[in-house]
Amino acid sequence: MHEVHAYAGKILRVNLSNGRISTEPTMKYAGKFLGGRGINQWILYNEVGPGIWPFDPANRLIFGTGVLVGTLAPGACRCTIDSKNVLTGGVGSSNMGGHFAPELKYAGYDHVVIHGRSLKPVYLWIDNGKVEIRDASDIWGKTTWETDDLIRDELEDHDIQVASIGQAGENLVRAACIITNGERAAGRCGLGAVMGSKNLKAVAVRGDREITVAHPDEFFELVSELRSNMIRVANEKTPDDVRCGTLLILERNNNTGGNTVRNFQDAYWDPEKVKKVCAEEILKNYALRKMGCFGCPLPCSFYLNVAQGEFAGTRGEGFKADSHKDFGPKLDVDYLPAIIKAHVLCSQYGLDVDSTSGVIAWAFECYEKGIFTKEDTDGLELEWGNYHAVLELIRKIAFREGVGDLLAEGSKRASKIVGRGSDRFSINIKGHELYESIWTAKAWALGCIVSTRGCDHLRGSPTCENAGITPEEGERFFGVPTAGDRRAYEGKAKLVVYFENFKGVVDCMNICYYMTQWKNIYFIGPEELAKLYTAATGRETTAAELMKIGERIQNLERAFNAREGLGRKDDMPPARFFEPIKSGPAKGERLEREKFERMLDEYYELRGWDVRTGNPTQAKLRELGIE
Amino acid sequence: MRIASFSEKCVGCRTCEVACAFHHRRTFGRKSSSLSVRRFEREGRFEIVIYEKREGERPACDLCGGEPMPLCVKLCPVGALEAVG
Repeated sequence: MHEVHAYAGKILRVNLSNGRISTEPTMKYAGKFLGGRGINQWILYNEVGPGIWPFDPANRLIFGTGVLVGTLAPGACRCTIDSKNVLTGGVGSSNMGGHFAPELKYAGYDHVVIHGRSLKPVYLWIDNGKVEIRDASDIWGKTTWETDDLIRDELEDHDIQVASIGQAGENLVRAACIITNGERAAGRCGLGAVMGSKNLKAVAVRGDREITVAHPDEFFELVSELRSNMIRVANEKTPDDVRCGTLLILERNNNTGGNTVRNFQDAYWDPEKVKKVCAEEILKNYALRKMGCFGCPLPCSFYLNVAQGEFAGTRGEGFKADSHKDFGPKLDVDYLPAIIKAHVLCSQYGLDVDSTSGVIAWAFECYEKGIFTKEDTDGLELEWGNYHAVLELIRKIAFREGVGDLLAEGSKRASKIVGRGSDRFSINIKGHELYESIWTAKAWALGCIVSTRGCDHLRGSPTCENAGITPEEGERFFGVPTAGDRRAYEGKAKLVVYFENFKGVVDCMNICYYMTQWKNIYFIGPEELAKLYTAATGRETTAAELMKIGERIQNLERAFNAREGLGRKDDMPPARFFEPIKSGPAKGERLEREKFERMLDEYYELRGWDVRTGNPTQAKLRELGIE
Repeated sequence: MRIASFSEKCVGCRTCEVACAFHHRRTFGRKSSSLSVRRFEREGRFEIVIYEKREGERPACDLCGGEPMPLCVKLCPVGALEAVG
């Protein structure tokens, strides 16, 4: 038999309803859908039909490593987890770093597909080729951190990797996520609740096997060169980013209309407050050391420790721009220990920081506008900056206690229950709460708005619009001279199509997006991915072929959404972004409705989709081999 | 020559482990490495262990004979490993 290189070679299927465990070859799907998110989505599209409730046992929960995962390709550590989206009813897709995916691949599996629902709480134990469904009755009700410890103790192996849910997932909170390594989250789309609905507390993995590549020396030389080149470029061009990871984003956003103050009522935060929570403050007073995901040449996470004050003893890592902005400006909290505490609590309960802060910000604005009084909030005063109320709401949401039961439904559903015009304060796209500010940078906005998983800056939304790239660079890399001009609409639909297709490939390889052109135009692009893929698998490919696969995945996800009734009508930003920014250097900037609609038309046209419905045509799907 | 490790600088990425196993076997994995990074992730602490003698399936560190620089040293992103002497 021809040896399969780079892949582990097998897909594991576990049916929790009847305990049946089986495998199938990854190669069955790899030709058309490569790996990672591509294969996950193809399985989802074929096996989870329209109208299946996310919590129905017939829904699948699919873990996918990637073609390059486990090798030394930069940042080849990601795990994509796909299912039906708990918030939107469409595609659910989330991605986490850490060490889980390489371990799963070393255990011999490229993907794990969870079917059905167990009658009692269980966890899955994958010990190389041995797979076991184990009782989790004693672990149910515990935090993700306690779950890690209990499973590692029970299996007497402290080097296994665990992906688990906390109480939020057990309680079917729609903001529930899946956590690995304590604080690496597959955050978005509520997939922790899908896992909870299956009574699956955790997946634990031990992998001692090896991944072969077709041309080891060539591959190793390639990855060594890429790694050293990236470290050199990053240190030359963006030394502050190397030093601070993602922690500078908040203060930079303040100059570019990128903050999300008081539930997106403004994009500019009081500079005095920014100073209190800025990157230098974190590095000086809270960061003990840097931490990195598997195989990362440019580690961006910090281990934080709160030494003093009422939150003394709070410790954790994985604190990045999301947590920083979500629990800082979005809720007007300028006290770092409380922001760090909120992040740690979300990790422990297994809550997505973006959606959790989003629904809390909605409640705060309802309180500000008089829709909620203390009687509606279990006596909590939801005044901006009241971090005690924020922390208490996080707990209430995780346990669906009191007002937390309402908030656990997410802001879109909650606003329908509450009525009284509260939907104006639900800052969501397709039901998915925004992390992103989308007033100013036009491709960034479009990418978030058309995202198949709701809203999302980690696919079609480029970062280059605020990165100072020249028109020549824009033309050379993307065929879009305006790529570095955030105010321009022209060419931005093309840029979004490019990045959506590219991210499809990146998620099949499952390297970190930060290692790519998305973060820095001189990092890994389609050409480099083609070289890596060819050397790793021994199958010759080109950048164009890979980008075609990216296009196929985008169409597949869009077709899944269309089947669920989503379309152009849902590709719409909250009304707030059509209003001008109130203050700061970007004051007055906004999305202009007509220009936005034209950009949207252009996007559908470039995609070859029906401009009226915003969905793929049958002809387009046939052309891409999706029937 | 020997390899000096500085666990206080380590970020726990395990690049060194995998690079070492690659040197020995031309494959990617962790088991056949002469180096192990013990992760105490929730304490924010890591410990680099270098096996100078064979231990079970772990081969002894041979300082990457044949390579201009030990691969673990070459690929560590934060200088937590150094070739000395």
